Amino acid sequence: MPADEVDREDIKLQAVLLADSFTKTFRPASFDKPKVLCPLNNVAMLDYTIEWLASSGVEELFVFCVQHADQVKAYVESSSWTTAIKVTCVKDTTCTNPGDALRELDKRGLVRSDPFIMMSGDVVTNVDVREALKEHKKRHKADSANMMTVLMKEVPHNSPLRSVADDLIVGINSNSNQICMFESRKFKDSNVQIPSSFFDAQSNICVKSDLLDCGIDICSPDVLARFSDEFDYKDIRKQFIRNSVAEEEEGLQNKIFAHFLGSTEYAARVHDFRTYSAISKDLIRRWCYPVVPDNLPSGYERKFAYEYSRHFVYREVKGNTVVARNTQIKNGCILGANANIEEGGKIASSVIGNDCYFGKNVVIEGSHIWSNVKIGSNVKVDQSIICDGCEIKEGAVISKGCVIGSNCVIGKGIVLKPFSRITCSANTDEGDDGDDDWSDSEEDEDVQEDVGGGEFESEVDVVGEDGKGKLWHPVVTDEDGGSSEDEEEWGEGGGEDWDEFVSVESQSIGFDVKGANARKIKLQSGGDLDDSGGVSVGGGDDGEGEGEWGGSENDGDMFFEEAHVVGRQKGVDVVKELRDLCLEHDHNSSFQNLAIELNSFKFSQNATYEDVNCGAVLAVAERVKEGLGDEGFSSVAKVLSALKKELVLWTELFEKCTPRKADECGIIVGAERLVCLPGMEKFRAGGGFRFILQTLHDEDILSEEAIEVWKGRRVKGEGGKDGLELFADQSVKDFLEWLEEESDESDGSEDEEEEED
Amino acid sequence: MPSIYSPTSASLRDYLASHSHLLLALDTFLLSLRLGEFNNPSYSDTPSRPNEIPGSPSFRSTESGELKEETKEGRKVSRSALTLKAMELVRSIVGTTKWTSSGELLIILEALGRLFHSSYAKDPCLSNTIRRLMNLVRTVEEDLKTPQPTPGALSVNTNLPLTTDPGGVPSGALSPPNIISRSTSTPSMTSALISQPQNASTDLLYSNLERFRSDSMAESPEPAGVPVPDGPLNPSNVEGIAKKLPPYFFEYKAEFRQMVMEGFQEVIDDLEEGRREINEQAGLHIHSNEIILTYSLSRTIEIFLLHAHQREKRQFHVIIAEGAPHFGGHVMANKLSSKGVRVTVINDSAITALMPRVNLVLLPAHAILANGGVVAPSGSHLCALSALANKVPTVVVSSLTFKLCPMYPHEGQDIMQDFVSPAFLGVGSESDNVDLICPVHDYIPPELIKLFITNVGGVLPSYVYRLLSEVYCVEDPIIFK
Repeated sequence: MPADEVDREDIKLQAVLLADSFTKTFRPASFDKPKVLCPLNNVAMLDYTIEWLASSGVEELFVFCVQHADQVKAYVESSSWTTAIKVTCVKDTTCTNPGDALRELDKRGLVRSDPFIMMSGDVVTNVDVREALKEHKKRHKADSANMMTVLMKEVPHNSPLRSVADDLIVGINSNSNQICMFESRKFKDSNVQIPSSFFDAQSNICVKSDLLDCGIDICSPDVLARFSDEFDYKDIRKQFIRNSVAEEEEGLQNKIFAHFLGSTEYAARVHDFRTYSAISKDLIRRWCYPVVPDNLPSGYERKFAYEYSRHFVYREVKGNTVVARNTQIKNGCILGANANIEEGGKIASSVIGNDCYFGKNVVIEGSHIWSNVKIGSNVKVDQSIICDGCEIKEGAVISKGCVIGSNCVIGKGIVLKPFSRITCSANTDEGDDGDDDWSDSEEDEDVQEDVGGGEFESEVDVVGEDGKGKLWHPVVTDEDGGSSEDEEEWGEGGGEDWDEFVSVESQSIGFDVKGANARKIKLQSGGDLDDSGGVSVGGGDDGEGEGEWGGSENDGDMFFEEAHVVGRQKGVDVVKELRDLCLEHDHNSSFQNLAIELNSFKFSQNATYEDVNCGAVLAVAERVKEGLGDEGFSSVAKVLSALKKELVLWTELFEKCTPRKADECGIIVGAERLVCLPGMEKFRAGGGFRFILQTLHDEDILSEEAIEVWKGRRVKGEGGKDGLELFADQSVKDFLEWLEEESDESDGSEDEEEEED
Repeated sequence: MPSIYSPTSASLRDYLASHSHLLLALDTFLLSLRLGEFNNPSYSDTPSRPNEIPGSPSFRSTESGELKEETKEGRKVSRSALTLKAMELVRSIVGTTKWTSSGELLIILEALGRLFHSSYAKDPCLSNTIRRLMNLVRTVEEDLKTPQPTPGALSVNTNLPLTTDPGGVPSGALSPPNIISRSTSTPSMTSALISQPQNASTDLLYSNLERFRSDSMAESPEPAGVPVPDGPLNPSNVEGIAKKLPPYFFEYKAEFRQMVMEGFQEVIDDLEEGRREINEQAGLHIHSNEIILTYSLSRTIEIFLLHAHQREKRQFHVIIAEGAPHFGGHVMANKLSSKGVRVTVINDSAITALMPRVNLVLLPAHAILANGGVVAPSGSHLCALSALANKVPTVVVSSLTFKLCPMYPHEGQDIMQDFVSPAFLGVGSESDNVDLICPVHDYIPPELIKLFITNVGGVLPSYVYRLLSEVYCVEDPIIFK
C-alpha cells in the first residue's frame, strides 16, 4: 500500500521461521506430520505464524524445515495464503539444532534485511511488532552491538502457558530494557548470577521471573554471523542469548534487549501437548483477539467459515455439520466442518476437527479431536488428543492426558490408562530420548526412520483385539554420556523428584501444573540451603576474573570459604589441587616445570597466583610433616627449623609465582590455613604463626608490602573467622609492630637493597 | 484477460491475476482487516494522541497510564478512514481492470463484498459501501438504457451478441438465459416485460433501436482511450446476484465506465463531505448553557460539538462517560477540553445519577439498522434507557453514507457483535469456571431514539427504512456470504 511504502526501507522486511522446534515433545503426533502442520483449533500452526508475519509487514519469509521437510515444503507451495508475503522454503535435513539452522542460513546469504524477524513456527501471537521493529532499528543505528530484541510477555510464574521445566529468570536494565541476565534455573543449581560490573555500568537492574519468552526475536543479520563464529552454539536461547548477555567485556558484547508486550497483546509457544491445549483454550476465549477461531487466516476463508455463538462455541457454517438436538455443546468448543454428532452427546471445552463422526452418548471433555476421527457410541474422552484418522470403537474410555497418533484404532470397551501415548507408526522408539526437552545427535537418524516403513505389530493388550497401535514410550536414557551441555545439565539436575518436571506426564494435558509448581518451589528452596540463595551477585574477584584471564592485575580477595568463581568447575577445591600438584613434584627436576604445571592449572580453573602460593605453602608443610612424623610436628621449634629449610628450597617457585608483591599474600594465607588445620592447635598456641611469618620475612620470601596488603585486608575484616582470629592473636600483633619499627628504622637502606635486587 | 463469472474469491483472484499490484493491494488490505490496523476492537473512532493540557482539573487521569496505553495501540483507525481506504482500493480495481459490462462489474463488486465479509470485517461499513456502489452501477446502467436524445452517444460493438432469447420460458429474465444469444434475434415481448416491467415500452424501443443501429452502423469506430474489450461476459454461466440481471447488463457500453468512475468519485466525496453537512446542523440542536451527555469516543460527535462551540459560539457543558474498559471517553475529554469546551468525565456507572441534570444525550453509531435501531459502543444502551427514564432526548449523530445497513436487528445484531480480548478488562482468571467477555457493541432499539442527525438532515427512526430504498437496491445481498 502506498502509505506504507514511504516508511519502508529499500530492502524488504524479511523473516526467518524455524519450522522445527528440534524437540521431541510432540510425539507421537509428530511422527507422521511435522509439528508446525499440526492443527491448533483446526488451523495449522504454521498458518498462524505466516499470517501474523504477513500482517506485520514482512514481505519475504524463509521457512527453514528439517524434519518432514518435504511435507512442509509441499504444504507451503500448495497454499496460497496471500500475495502479501513471499514464502520460500529452505530445506536442510542435516541440521540438528537451531544453531546449525542459523549457520546454514548465514552460509546461504539469504537474509539481508536489517532487522529481520526470527521466530519459531509454533508461536501464536497478535503482537503489533512495528513498534519493536522501530525501537530495534533506532538502537541498532546507535550501536551496532545492539543486535537483537527479544519479545517477552509478563505471565504469572505458574501460568499454564509455561513449559513446566521453564524457570526463566531475566535481569533487565529498567531504563534501557537491556537484558543482562538470561538464565533458566535448574533444580539444585538454583543460583543465578549477575556480574557485579554490570552494576557499575547500569544502575537500575531488575530481576524478574514472570517473563515468558515468546519465541519471537528481532535480529540484525550480525546474529547469523555470530552463530557462524561460535560454531558450537546449538540453542539460540540457552546458549546464544544466555552467554551473550553474560559477557562483561565492553568490546565483545552482543547487546540484547527485551520488548515487553502490551496488556492486550498475546504471544505463546506450543512447547508440548499441555501448552498446546492451554493456548487453544486461550484462543477460544479470545485472549489473542483478533486471532480467534472465527477469524480464519488467509486461504481458509475459501473453504471454511466459523460463527461464534454464546459460551464460546464456534461452529463451522459452510460445511454440513449436523449436531443432534439433545447433544450438549458448551463451555468453549469448536465444531469443524461436516461433523456429525449423534444424540445424547456431551461435548465441553473441546475442539472437534473436520469430517468427524461421533456416535450416541459420547462424552468429550477438554480434548482435541483432529480431522476424520470416528468415535463410536458411549465413548468417553477426557483431556486427550486424538490425531487424524483415528477410530475409537464403542464403549472405549480414553483417560486424561492420552495422545493417540494418526490412524490408530482403539478397540471396543478398552480403557486406556492416563497419560498413555499410542502410535501406529513403525520404527519409532529406537534411539529416542523423547522426554528430553532437547535432543541432539539422533535427530537425523530419526528422520530416516520415520520415512522408512517397517513391520508394525499392534499391542493387543493395550488397544484391544480389534485395535491398531501400540504404546509409545519415550526411551529414558541416562544422560551421563549426553553430548550436549543441556543434556548434562538435565542429567545432573536430576534426582527422582526432578524427573517429574521433564516427564511425559508434565507435557500432557491434565497435568496438575499448580501442584507441580508448588512441589518444585519446595524442592528448590528446601534442597540445600547453601546453594539456594536465589540471586547471588559475584564479588569483585568474580567480576573481573573472566575478563582478565591473565590475572596479573587481579587484586582479588582470598576467602577461607570457597566462593564460587566464574569459569571454575564446581566442587573443585583449587588450593587442595594445587597442593597435590606441588606434592607430586620431584625435587630432582627443576621448579620451572612445576611452575608451568601450576600455571596451567591456575588458568584452567580461573584461579589466582595467591591460590598457587597458598597451595605451595601447604605442600611444603606436608613434606615437613612427613619428615618429622606426627610427634615431631607438634614441637614448634622443630617444625620451624624444618620448615625454614624446606621453604628456602622452594624460594625459586615462590619467586616464579609472584609477579606482584601482593600475590605473596597467598603464602601468608597458606600459613594461616596450615596453622588452622586440625592437630595444629598446640603449634598455634605456641605462637607458631608469628614465627612462620618471621621466618618467611627473614628469608626474604615474604616482602613487607605483601604483609601490608594482608594486614590491610584483615583490618577490613576479610578472611573469615579463622583468619581474623589468628590476626587478633597477640603474638601476630607483636610481630607486626616490630615489623613497622624495623621498616621505619631501615627505610633508606632497605630501599637500596631492593634496588639491588 | 480472463472474465469473471462468479463472485467467489478464487475467480476474483483469477480475474486479477495479471494485475499483481492490485492483488497485492487487495491482500494487504484483507490482512489489515483480519489482523492489522483496521481491526478495530475497542471503539468507533480514532484515538489520536491526546493533547496534554496542563491544569485541567475537570477530569481525572489525564496523565494516567490508561490514556497512554490506549493511544499507544496505533492499529485502530477510524471507520471513515477504513471506508475511504476500501473505496480507493475498489476504485483502483474497477478503474484499471478490463471489465466490459455492468454485469461483470457487479460480479466484481459482489466478490469484493464477500471477500471483505469473510475477512472478518464485522464492520458493516464495508458491505454498505459495496452495496452502495452496486446500486450506483445499476442506476448508471438504467440511465444508459433509456434512449438518449443524441444517438451518437451510444456506440455498440457490433460483433457482440446484443440480446438474448429466453426461449419462451416465462421466468426467463429471472433465471439466466440458457440459449446463447444470436446477434440478430428479436427479443420477445414477454421477456422484455418481465425483465423490466416498469420500462416495458422503452425497453422494447431500445432493443429495436439497438438492432437498427447494429445493422446500419456496423463499422462504428471505437471511441479513443477506451480499451478494446475482448468480449462481454456470457451471461448464461454467471453466478451470484448477477444471475438475476436482465441481459442488457452484459452489453458493452462505451461511456459506462466513465460514468461509473464519476459515480465512484461522488461516493468518495460524499464520505468526505458527510461530516460537514452534519456540522451545519449543530446550531439547531445545541444551545447555550445546555448540559450534554455523551458516551465514549466519537470523532463525529467531537467535531459536531466543536463546531457548535467554535462556529456557533455556544457555551455548553459536556459530560462524558468514560466508556470502560476502553476509556475512549478520556481521549474525547482531552480533545474537547483542549479546544475550550467545558468537560466533566464520569464513570459509566454514574450515568443514571447525573442524567436528571442533562438536557441532551448525544450518542455515536456503529451502524444504523433498517428498523431505526442503532448499533453503538457497548454501554450506550444504558445511556439511552436512563435518558428515556428521565425524559431526556437521545439523539444519534451519524453520517448515513456508510453506516446505514439494510438489515434488521434479528439478522444483524449477532453479526455485528464482536468480542475482543478479555485482557481489556484488566483481570486474569485463574479458574476455568470464570468466563471473561468483553463485547464491543450494544443495540439500542428505535423507541429510545428521538432523532438522527445525519448528513441528509434530521431523520426520525421510523423513516430510516425509507432512506434504505434510496441508497441500496433490494436485489443486492443484505449479507455478503
